[in-house]
Amino acid sequence: MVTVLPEESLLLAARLLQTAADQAEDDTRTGRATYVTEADVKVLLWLCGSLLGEGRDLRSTSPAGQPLRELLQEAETELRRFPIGDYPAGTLDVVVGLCDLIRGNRT
Amino acid sequence: MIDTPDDLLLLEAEHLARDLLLNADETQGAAASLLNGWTPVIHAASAYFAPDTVTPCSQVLEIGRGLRRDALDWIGKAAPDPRLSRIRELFEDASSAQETARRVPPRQNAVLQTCYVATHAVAGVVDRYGASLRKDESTRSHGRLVATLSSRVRSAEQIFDAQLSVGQTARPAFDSTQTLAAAVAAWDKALHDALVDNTPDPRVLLVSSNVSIGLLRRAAELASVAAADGELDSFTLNSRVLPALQPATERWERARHTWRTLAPATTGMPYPIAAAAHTLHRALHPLQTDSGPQNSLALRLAIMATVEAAHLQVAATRRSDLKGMASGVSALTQAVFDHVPGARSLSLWRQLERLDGPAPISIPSQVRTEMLRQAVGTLEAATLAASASHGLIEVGVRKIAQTREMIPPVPRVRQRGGLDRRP
Repeated sequence: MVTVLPEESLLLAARLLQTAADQAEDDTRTGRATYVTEADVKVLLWLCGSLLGEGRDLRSTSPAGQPLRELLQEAETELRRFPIGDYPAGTLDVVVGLCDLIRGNRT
Repeated sequence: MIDTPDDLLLLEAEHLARDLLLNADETQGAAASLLNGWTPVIHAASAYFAPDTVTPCSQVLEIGRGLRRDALDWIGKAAPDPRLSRIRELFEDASSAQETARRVPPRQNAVLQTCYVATHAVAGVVDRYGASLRKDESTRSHGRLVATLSSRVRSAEQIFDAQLSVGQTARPAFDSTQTLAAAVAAWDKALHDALVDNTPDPRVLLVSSNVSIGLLRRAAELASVAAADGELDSFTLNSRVLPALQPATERWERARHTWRTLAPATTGMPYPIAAAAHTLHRALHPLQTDSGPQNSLALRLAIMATVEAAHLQVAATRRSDLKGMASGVSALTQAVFDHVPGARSLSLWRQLERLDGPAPISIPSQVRTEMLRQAVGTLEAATLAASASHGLIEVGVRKIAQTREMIPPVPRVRQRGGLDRRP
């Protein structure tokens, strides 16, 4: 059994957000999404990245082109692995922001 | 950590609150159902802190008492939302544990976090329901009443937020212009602290570029809405403001490309920068945006913030200790020498190409000169946009003065936190 610590789980979520941010920037450029969605995702990525120690690579192995909503849902699901309180302080903002963003991108 | 069955109860409550945030309609029925179910949740949460009589939920309970009757009058009757009812039951079960078990800080924190998430969800639904009513002239006044309900739930959210955020970021209050002003000031400070007299971190400059693009785009968007609503002179908008915002946005997009090339995609971004950007983003994109004269002032603030960021970018680019990711420095060097005749470029680029990875390296002087030229161009464009936005503030000040004269007096009972205190 692989033991995942809360910090590792947060890193996995951050990598999904990095992929989502790249995807959102592409979507803005091609007109598939608004710049607001792109900014929403990036703000969460920065917050998530700032809660982790220095120098961990955020590049993800997720396949490129995965829909933004799926990436966000995966990140939110990943952050259910532990109670919010077990994650580094500040993760609550990431979770609330993710839920708001997923709901806002329902259609 | 999940140590006891009580922890599982609290975890289920947390997940239900998240589900509520993810899936809640914005209809009259949903808003009524959520408001009806919310106060019992806060009661149950407060009971978790027994035998204390003053609990972290006491102030919120006060808000809830006044809210229930008004919600009934203004939104209507509905059965409590089943998810909120389940959260209440879970809190009641968890409250039956011995006091020593309930006194554990992470468990008390878990109760407050769930309350915060649930309250945020309820406030959001009531906000959006109220905003939908205000779109139509026939239901606008009803929508304003609903807005007063949502602002009271937002106050409760802020109380939970403040209890959970000790030592962290200041959160937005709910007056849009004041909130944006405070968020812009906090962003300026975070950026100064990160860049002035420090080795520049390209990741911070990448965030700064992204934030400036967001500010300018939002300013253009809100200005267009204000012009459509007759709040702003459309001649000023189309002849001065938008033509100045567009080149400034394009300059920042070029700057963003440069910093993305140099900045490694790694964790460890300074928290104050990330938190200030998050707060600013929330202030800039509140759940509800009604056009109004205050928007013009907020727009001006947003545009001024990009001038400050452009100044800091110029200063950071001038610093000799500025470094970037090797692969990025290599790419920029190649791009610069593509425009310079001579073979020297190729040999320099080949040397740099061998270096890769996120380790930062110094930037060749030719590249730095080009970056500085670009940064100065961004500063000029940002300054022009700020100058063009001056027209906005004149319109905004004039409209606010007119609006204030028309505001009816507020009854005394409503001035004290919005609670009915009838004798």
